[in-house]
Amino acid sequence: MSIFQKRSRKGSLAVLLVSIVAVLACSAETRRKTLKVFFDGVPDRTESTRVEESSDPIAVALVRSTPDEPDRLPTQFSLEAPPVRWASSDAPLEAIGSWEEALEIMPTDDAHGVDWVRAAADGLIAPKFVPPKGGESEPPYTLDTIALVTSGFPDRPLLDLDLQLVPEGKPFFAARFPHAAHTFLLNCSSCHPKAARMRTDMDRILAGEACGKCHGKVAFQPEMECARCHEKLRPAADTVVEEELSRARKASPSATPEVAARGQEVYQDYCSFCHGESGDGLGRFAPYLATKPRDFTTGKYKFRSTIGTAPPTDVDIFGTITRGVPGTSMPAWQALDYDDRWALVHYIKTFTDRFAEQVIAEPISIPEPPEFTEELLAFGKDLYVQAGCNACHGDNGDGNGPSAPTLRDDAGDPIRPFNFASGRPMKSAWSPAGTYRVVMSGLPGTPMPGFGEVLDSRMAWALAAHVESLRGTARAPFAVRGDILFERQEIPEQEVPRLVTTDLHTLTAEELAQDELFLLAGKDIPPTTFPHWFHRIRFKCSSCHESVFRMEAGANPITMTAMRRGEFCASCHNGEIAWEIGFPTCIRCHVAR
Amino acid sequence: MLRKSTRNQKKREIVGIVMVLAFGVLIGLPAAAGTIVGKVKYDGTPPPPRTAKVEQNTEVCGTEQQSEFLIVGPDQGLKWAVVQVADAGGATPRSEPPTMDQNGCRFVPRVVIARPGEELAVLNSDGILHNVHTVSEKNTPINKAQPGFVKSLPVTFAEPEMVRLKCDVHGWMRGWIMVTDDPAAVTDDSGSFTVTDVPAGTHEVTVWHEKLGRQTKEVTVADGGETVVDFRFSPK
Repeated sequence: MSIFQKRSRKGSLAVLLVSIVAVLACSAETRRKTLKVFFDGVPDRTESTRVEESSDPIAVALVRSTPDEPDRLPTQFSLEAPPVRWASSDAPLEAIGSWEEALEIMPTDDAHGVDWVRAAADGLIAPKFVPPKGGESEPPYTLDTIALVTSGFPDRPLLDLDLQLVPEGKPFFAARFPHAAHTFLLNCSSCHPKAARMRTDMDRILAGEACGKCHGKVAFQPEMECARCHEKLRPAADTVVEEELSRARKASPSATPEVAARGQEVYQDYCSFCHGESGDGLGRFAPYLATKPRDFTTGKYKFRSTIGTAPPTDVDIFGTITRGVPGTSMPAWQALDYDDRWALVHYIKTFTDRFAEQVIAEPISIPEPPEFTEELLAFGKDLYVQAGCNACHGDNGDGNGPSAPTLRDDAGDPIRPFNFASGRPMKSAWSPAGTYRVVMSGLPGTPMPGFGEVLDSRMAWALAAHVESLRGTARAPFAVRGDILFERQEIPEQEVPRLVTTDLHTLTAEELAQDELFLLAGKDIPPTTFPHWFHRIRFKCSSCHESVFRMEAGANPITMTAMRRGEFCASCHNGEIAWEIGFPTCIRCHVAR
Repeated sequence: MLRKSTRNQKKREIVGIVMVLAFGVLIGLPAAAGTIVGKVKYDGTPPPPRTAKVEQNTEVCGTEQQSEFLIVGPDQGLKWAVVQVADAGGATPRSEPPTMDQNGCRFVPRVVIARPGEELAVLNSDGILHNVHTVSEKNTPINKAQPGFVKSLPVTFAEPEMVRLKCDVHGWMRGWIMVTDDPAAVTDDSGSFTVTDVPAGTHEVTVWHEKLGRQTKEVTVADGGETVVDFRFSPK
């Protein structure tokens, strides 16, 4: 009998109904698996998230560090450091009077932000337990309390548990996550379950998800400090690097087709996400990086040991890859094999014709340094002014010379001269010999010219000695050129809804309550001072630039009317993120200095 | 008497010497060349110059610097335009190498013409730090420091190109170097120019100005003659 005859149709219908019910009743996982047998492209709804998650799994290994374990790796926030004091009294947070003074002693990270972990480990800050009133602490937080919301336990011990996060197929990029460094400031619910998603990757972190919910906004910028999480990207000791470089100078693998092929493999795996698949500096991380990755197709290289218009030598490029560039997002690739790094050098050179066309000049030979006597230092100090270094680098080497504000690099973007006084390592120079080299060769692509044709070696050593003596003499400016003083502009007449009085004390309570009283068009209101540093300790530059404020003098017509519309400062100063711009708070900005 | 073969050899030698001498005379003769003269004019009023406030080296640079990208003389003559005769290269070598001075924190002259491979001497009359920073595509950019104690710094360009010159220490400074083998000239205060040593024949003559762009005309030059060509730029 045919299957389509009445009797069996009922039966098959029943079977169909039962199976539908069964499938619907199953768990999502089972349902998906079952439906996959019948259909393609079944959406994965096993974890309901609003955010599209990475499909690459990350293996999580617990690295429990206890003192008994012989192979214990020090956690970033070591228990041997002085214990954090949990201040539960109302004593002032710092004996120091102001944040500016406090910032003088705070340790900073590579991106000029405060290194809160180190500050706590050094005992400089003592996070205060803020007891919740009625269950929740309310924003906006003021200077009087550190904005820590802990509904946890003031005396709880830190959770000293490190996790090793290994992306599948990429063990080189294993990252170490220290719970201790987070739990001294935050409680479990700050991250779990929403922010602490294991299925994530760097694109999402840089875009502000998972770790990126805080890192890049209030904690260190992940794109500036790769090595803080990715242990293999930590720079090796200088002596190790020097050994490799002297080995490289004597003999290096030459460019063969096998080497170039290997170079391409290594490039795709390790370099292309910043430098781009075709070496043009437009990798997928590039939009997040403040210092743009090098565009190899132009053939312009910043760090070299040749002078004039000559391109860098192979060893120069190898050195840059090995050492990385501190102060930028280029990490040290020391952990890659020596031969792999050489393969990269040869592959990178193929992105441009410049190496084929130009004759590779000899690198300058850096002679033995003379003794840094008082006389040499005095000569160097005098030469620093004679040669005009102070025009950009400033008299004390802090990068605030008179020509500094107008400097632009070859791409037309503003660029700052290096701040020697901060004591940070230069991008390609780690020693007076390195300074010598940079002074002679200049930095192509930037305003820094090469002095190789106009200085002799004694003059260059004198300059290097003087620069060395300037290091650590002035704090790195915490923000860009400090505070911005907004000079009072004439307010156009139509902006003043009501000219009341310049004497606030004569106003009644009702009058004070009215919004319109902001615009007191008198000359007695002091000009506004905007403190960059105070914002910089919390936010990275891109929080405001360029979406809220364009970085061009005169390009932002900031008026109180605009702020009442929610523009400019009022984007955050609206009572929700930060204090509202209102009558009691005029004095916070309009401060006579 | 000389043997016959030696006599022939001598004859050949004498013929050879005479040929070489004649060739030399022909080479030495001046090539047929003419001159192109004219005026470049601008048909409008230039905008008021922009001012930059000087923050450093005020004793040499003054307190203010004005922009000079469009200088028009009283008779609408356009200054600092370059007239170039295309593909008429191999002009006779110059007697003096070209120079570019840094004087009063300005490049003097604003536009200079150099040959590919020829040394351009950059002078520093100011006695303060300037850097010679070129912006170019075909030539590798140069960025050399010229502290006050370096009075002259040579730079060379390999490829024909219009090279922009700037100083990073003094951001308003602007100069141009036309690197070319062709006969060329720069207009003066009244917009007049004279291009010498133009081979006789028909050529394309191009005028370039940094803000107003280029214009081209076809010109015929007679041997030993003076051809007049005028150009006119209009405000867009």
